[in-house]
Amino acid sequence: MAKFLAKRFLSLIFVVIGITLIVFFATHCLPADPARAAAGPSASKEQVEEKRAELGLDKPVYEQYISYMKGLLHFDMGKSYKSKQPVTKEISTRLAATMELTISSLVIFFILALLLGSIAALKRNKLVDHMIRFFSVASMAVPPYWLALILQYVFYFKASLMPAGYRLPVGVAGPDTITGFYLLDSALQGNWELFFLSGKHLVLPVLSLVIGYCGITTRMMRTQLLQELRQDYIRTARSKGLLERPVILRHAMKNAISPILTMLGMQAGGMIGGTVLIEKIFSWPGLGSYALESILSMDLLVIAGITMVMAIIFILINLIVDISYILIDPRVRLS
Amino acid sequence: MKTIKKYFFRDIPSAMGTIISLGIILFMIIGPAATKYDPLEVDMGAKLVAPGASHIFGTDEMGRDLFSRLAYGSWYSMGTALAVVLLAAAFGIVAGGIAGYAGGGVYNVLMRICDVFLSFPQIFLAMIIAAAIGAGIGPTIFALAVSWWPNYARMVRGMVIVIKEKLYVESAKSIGMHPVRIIFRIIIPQTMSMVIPQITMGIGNALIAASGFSFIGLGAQMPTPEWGAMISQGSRYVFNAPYYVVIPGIFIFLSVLGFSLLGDSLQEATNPELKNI
Repeated sequence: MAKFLAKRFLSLIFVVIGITLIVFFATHCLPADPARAAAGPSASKEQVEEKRAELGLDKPVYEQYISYMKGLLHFDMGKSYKSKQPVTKEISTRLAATMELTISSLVIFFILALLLGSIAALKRNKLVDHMIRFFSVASMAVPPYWLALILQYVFYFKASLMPAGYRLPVGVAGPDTITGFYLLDSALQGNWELFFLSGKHLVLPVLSLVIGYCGITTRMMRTQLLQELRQDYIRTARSKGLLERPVILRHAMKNAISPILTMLGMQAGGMIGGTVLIEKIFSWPGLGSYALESILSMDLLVIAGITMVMAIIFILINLIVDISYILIDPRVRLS
Repeated sequence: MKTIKKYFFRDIPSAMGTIISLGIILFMIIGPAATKYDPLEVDMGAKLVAPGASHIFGTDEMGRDLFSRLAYGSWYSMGTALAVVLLAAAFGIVAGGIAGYAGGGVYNVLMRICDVFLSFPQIFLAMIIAAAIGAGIGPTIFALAVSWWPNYARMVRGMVIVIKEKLYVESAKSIGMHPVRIIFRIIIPQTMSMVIPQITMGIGNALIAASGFSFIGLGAQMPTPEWGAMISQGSRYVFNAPYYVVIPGIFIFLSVLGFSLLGDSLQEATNPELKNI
């Protein structure tokens, strides 16, 4: 286990370096001029040059890269050209919002995919199986951002059941920060009114992400469980008179879940990316909408910082997946 | 006949995929000819007209006919998706082919590069590239292709490693064939049975990603009638003209559905062992 973690950690460093290289050089080979963007449209030529020197953009790219990497060792990602605040600070104030959205979606998505996939497998070729299979194919074909707009139209505009966006209604203060997750923080502080209010604001964005991404995993769960149910050990378990429920839950399910976990890790990446569009639609004050804002205003260091943070989160999720894989499946542990 | 049935009409989903895909292709061809409206023609007297007799899908906020825009726009949307997948596949096949055949250092370097590209959410990579070279259809194609090629490279690499041990590759080597010729003339054609279904399925994903790009303003720009850009524009009027968002979305949905079902069907026909995955 220790060796595995060490190896993973090493590859993490490698990946971070790779990402910084890509991000840094891509954003510094721009034909567009970030110094001009930072100085403002009415700035004179001298003011733009002054800005360029101030931001360090007049130095050669490799020098900029080295000083950026040095800063990174102290968790310093530079300052936003636009707000003049440290990038790490800008990111940390928005990270919790995105993580609350992503983690809630991942949890619900995983449970839903397992449930639907198992039902489809157990009721193979019955009506409910066909319905679930149709749902999973359809869910893969729906553009998540379009679904979000439709949900907003139906549940906010037509039915007035759900809020249109934001984490809380305008003018309502969030709970005192412990984790930054409104649901968790309000529950810890026993403020149930706020808990339900922030939960309500999560419903539509989470639903858009979950429906958009759970199709393929549902389908895979069905296939996996069907495969496991055909194995000899299931026949053995049944023939020694075990009840159907433990056979399925304790034997077949447990083995079918491991490949699904890997899938979950990969899906997490798509979902983190998907938050960019979903956050925009629901005015969710997270990293996704901030990334978009920074791209449009050419705030290079912010873009680099967000991409890096997203990549690290993605890698960490996959690491957690790998570790749980080892815990569930002894064969992996031995090899 | 039998072959057509095997590839395109295996079962109900496969037939659905074939029919929907054909429908979309037909719409692309006949649609522009079937409408009397110009997709860019502004008619301020007919702003946001609901679907009806004069405009079957209604009009947008500038009075442009939505049917006409969808029909002409299909070439932009489907063209972008196809270009992304073909470009990514071409690059991935070459990289995967070389890595798989050469092994050793080349293999390690190419695969580590793939790891880096695959280790962060693709939309961010694509966003950076789009920011670097500007918004538009061309940059979208480039950005998505750059972030997608590793998927193809990995798949092809895996296959090449198996194929290169085959006897016919050995004999090609022994008659002194050049490695480049072996890779491109002998090995890569063998991988097509896996790659072509993947490309077909990929069109759907590329369509969602590219239209999403237009939706956030990094892809096709108005007044180009690209489907994602239309949804983006329509989202401003969603509360009084919902059809403006709904209809282009249905076109995207159907296209993705059609091509993924068709891809599945081709996959099952060429690689029966992968059934149900």
